[in-house]
Amino acid sequence: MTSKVRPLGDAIATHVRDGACVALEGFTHLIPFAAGHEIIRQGRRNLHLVRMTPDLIYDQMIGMGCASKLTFSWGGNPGVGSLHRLRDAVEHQWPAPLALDEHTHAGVAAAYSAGAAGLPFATLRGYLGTDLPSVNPRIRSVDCPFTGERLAAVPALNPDVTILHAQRADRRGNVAMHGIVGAQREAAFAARALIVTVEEIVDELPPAMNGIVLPHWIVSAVAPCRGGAYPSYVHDHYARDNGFYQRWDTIARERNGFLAWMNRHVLASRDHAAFLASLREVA
Amino acid sequence: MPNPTASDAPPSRRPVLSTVERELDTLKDGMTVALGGFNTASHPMAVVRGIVRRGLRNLRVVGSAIAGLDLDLLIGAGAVREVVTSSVTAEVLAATGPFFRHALERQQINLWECDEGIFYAALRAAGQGLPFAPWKAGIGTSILQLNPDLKIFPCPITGQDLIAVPAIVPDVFFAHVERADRYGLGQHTGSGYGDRALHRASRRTVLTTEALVSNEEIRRNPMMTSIAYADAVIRVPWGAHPFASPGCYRVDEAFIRQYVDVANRARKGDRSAFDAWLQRYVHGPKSQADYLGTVGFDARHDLQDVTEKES
Repeated sequence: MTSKVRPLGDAIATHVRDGACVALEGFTHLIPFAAGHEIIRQGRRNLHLVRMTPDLIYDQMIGMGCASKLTFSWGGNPGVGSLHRLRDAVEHQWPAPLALDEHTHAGVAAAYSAGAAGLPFATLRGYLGTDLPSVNPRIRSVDCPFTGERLAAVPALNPDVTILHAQRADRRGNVAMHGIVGAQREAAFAARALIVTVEEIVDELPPAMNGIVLPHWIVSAVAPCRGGAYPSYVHDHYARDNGFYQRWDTIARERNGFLAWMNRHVLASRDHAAFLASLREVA
Repeated sequence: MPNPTASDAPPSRRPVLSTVERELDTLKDGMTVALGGFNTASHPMAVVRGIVRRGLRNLRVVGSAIAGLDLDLLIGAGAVREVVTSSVTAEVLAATGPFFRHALERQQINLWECDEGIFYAALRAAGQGLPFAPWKAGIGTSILQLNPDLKIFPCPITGQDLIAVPAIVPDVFFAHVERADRYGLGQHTGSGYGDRALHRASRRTVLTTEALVSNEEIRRNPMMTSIAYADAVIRVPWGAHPFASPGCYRVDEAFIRQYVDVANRARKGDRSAFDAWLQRYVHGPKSQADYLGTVGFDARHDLQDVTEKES
């Protein structure tokens, strides 16, 4: 039995290359912050980032210069406001220009699903009647061969690597997650490589009825990482740190303050445990 | 929390308890009816027997992706015009349903030919409110000649040939679950098969359930809710018999062997034993309790040992 368990640093170094198309998924819940920080520490550049809902972790990666393109369907600090680093990159190309590929949630989910099914495109009732297609030439249309009705068509998304966070995995790489999920399963099956950080590695997964189980054969690496979704939350493990989301608005508003914070807490920390410890020092 | 009254409760929280007979009243000849379950598990048999009893005709029946002898019985009783499924089988008990095979060989029914991928593509399109779904597997095979509803079209992005699978929208979907509450929240023990896809695709979903439980009980493990907001819920203990209901009872192999035997005799020209079987198990019993009495307590007692067949 070959173990898929790797330290997070090794998993990122092996699977995330400069210029890669990378999707970090998790919908409010189970956002893989630790993995995003490790990408920042390793200094990856020119990534094509994909995420239904880019929030703080993508603000950090974009602000630290990891990305040159963003495929997304909503961007913001949930319940707080704008993402200042994302906005700075789009408006002032700082620290680097960022190309936008803007979709709807349904469009991104459908594009992942098509990618997972090996199809070149997905069709949906969306976009048409809005002006999104006028700002995104990748949104096309298709006429239904049966009814003649015009429908939206989006190209499949097949990330080079998808990165997720989950409650647990076994050593073979089978992954179980439960609670609210977004497009994780679709993004996982659509990807060429899949890294999953987990709260714990177990000998045998409990029978979590209807909890998403990602089978080991699509998993490239599992990395044990307690607290790996902080400041988002993990059902049955820890709650969301809403205060951090509010503080982020101030931290990220100006370039210098942002860089100082990232240097002190992310770059100066060897790993996620050290990152969490550095936040406790502040408190 | 205030207790919502009937007038201010959202529509989804209206009690939807019903009876088999009331749901059968909604069926008409020629409808598209979907049946849940898979192979030898979880077919809504109280409804299937009711369809036979009512003498419905010309149904288009969407079986599960691997339909069981539930569908075979409907064909044998003359209720079916067209079948949508990739297989009608009972595993080692019957590789192919006897009446299914017989009716196809004599062209007495149509078969909407598909594999499981195309079957689910048709349901996915329906569930998403789309008129069709693109699909790739099947290009270069004769499936397109066997099923004239499938069309080749060019991908609007890459130009490559793809198969367009038209949506299939059942008028009503009948499924059997282990637990449900009065508001239409159903929970399968086990995988739930393709029942989620059939539920999303259908205009109306009716659940028969082994146990009727409280909404609090359902909410204790919300991730197990596989059917959200069925339109009707009917408490039918042993509702999948002679098929298994996971965690509750095993497949009644002796009963199915008896069915396969009388069906094979009918296929070969002697329908008398099948007619007697229909009289005993379908037309005779006046209720589910009556049916269970006919099946017998001893048989059911043994079937409830769900650990016996585990290896």
